[in-house]
Amino acid sequence: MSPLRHGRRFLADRAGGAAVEAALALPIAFVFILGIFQLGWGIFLGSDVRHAIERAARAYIVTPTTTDQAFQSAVAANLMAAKINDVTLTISKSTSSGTQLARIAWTYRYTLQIPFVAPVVLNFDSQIIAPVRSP
Amino acid sequence: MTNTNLLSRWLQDRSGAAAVELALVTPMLAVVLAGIATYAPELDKVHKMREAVSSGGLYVMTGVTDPTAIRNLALQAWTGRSDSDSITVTQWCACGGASGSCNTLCADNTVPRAYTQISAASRYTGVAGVQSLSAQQTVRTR
Repeated sequence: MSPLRHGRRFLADRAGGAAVEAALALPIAFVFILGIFQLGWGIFLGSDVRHAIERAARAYIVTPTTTDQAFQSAVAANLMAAKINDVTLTISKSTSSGTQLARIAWTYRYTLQIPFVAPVVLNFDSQIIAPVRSP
Repeated sequence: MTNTNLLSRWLQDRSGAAAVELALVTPMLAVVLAGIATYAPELDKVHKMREAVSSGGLYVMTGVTDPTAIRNLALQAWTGRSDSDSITVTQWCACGGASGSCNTLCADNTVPRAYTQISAASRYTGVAGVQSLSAQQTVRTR
């Protein structure tokens, strides 16, 4: 059999079509599924950071002598899965109607790692104001 | 060729099946993607609103009773707030289960309990249209 006829027979052969289709579709399906997992995990980490900061902010009320350093350590200790190095905390103090306030502005970055897709960075940011009780 | 013949031939025809499948699946995928694109920023907005309300709640816990000061603090703590977003502070007293005056003793001579509630209201416009968002926190102050 000549190579040309061999090629024609191969092209005309319909066997294994489903396997070829699966080979084409599965990587795309995996990208979707892993992307959804990654996005869900990223949103969870954002909530983790938010919760850790909200909990730590209470230290300013309970223990008025809390230093910013101690606050940052408390945030790190409260985190369940997020890395403290990806969290940026900016603490500024001010006084309003005789009450000292600690404004904690924060940002958190998480990079989604999805196969075959360029890295997507999720940026979370918010702030909370905690009153510091006079000692 | 009769119509029945034509229909049965059409039903048996397997060509273009992939295109039909794609036409069925694509709208569903588009809805999922539109949902993610809509609800992710909405969730972020709700969280920021809640943090503003929490900040107001913490402020109340230190003994501040001035509703304007509480409202202003919550507004300051609201990241990405738009002009139409609002904070409302309401204060009331209660005797037992019923509401009562803050300045007189309850019928059983106990001091009425006092509450301060901070409510936030916002709107979010996404694929699903305009949605009302709200968050509130009540602090018992006495």
